[in-house]
Amino acid sequence: MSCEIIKNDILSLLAGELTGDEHSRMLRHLEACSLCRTEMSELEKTWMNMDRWEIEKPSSAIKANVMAAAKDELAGAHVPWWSTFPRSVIFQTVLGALGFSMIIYLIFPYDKIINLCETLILKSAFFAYFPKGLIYFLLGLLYGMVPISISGICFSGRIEDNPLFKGLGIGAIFAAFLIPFFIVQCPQFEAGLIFIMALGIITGALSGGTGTLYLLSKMRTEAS
Amino acid sequence: MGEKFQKSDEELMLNVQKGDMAAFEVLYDRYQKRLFHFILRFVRERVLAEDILQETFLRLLKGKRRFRKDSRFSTYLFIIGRNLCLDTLKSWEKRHVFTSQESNIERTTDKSKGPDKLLEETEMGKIIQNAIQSLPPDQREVLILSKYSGLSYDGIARIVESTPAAVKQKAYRAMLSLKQKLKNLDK
Repeated sequence: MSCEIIKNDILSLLAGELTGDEHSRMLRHLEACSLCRTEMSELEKTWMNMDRWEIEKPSSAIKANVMAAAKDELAGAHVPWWSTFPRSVIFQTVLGALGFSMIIYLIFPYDKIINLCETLILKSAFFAYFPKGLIYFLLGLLYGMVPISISGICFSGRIEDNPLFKGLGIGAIFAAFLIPFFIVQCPQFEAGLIFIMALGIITGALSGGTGTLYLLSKMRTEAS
Repeated sequence: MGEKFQKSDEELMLNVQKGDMAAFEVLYDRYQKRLFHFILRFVRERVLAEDILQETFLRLLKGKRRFRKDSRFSTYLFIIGRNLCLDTLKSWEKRHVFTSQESNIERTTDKSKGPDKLLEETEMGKIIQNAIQSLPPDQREVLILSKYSGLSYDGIARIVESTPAAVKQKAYRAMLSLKQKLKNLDK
């Protein structure tokens, strides 16, 4: 490291701005170069002498005036209700939920899910224990809960404030996107059962979104 | 309120944008001393410096929506303060003549020290003050910012609209000049 370069960084060293490697390189040069060491010592003395120019703090009346003005200014700060909603959390999670749902749909479409329900239900042993509607509801619940929960875990950002509210929001948006799509895709099946499955999806989405974000925020709060 | 002390300046400022008075007070308490020290050393008149300090925070409030979350708050605040200093000095130069070379800066008085010690420190403080004030304005500004504001050279460069390398060079030249002027101080 040349002396010219060192001279530019002497003040950074005095101000405590040099990082680990830069700091080490600077100290190594100063150990080896007596000229730079002398200059450093003289500038350090000057730097310390500058502390002798002391100044009082401002009068307390300043703070009082500023706070009074702040009260007026901030009281009138109109914040639209939607700007407090974490758009990035909603956007990310809904995108994520839709993405997962599309992947699940491509692998295992809605009509195949309902066919599976029908197959399970037709097995008399199964049917003996579980009413048809409940099976549809539970499958809808899983279908609503799983993608939103995974999406919430993967994509949730700042969720320390109002996780329940945010969870309800993202669950509702997810359900609002998916239900029409779901109904349109399955016209050939019994309307009542489709309705029950849709209810299951809504319930799963709301509870999955709420539960996931709430648990995540609790875990993060405890971790910090 | 305890939680607010752990938040960064930028987080607090985002809260101020939402109308959080307590966040603003934390920011005020964090920066009022540093900012005042810079302003007072810049304008050299206490009353003027207090006015500028007050106006800086009021402008910060009025323009709170302009603060972007990827900005650095300290730099943003000092830019407002510095611009106010420059504007105020320009208008003062037009309307007034500074008849006295001595400034109106008051010194801290430590009552635990004896009168001789206080006098000695007052004199030394004045010598250093005058030495710094006699530097060229651009060097003086950069030196005051680097020593008394706690800002990084990147931040100072943004405030004075220059590059970090140029700021470091100016500060270095200022220090060399100051070293010459204060040669006899410790003798």
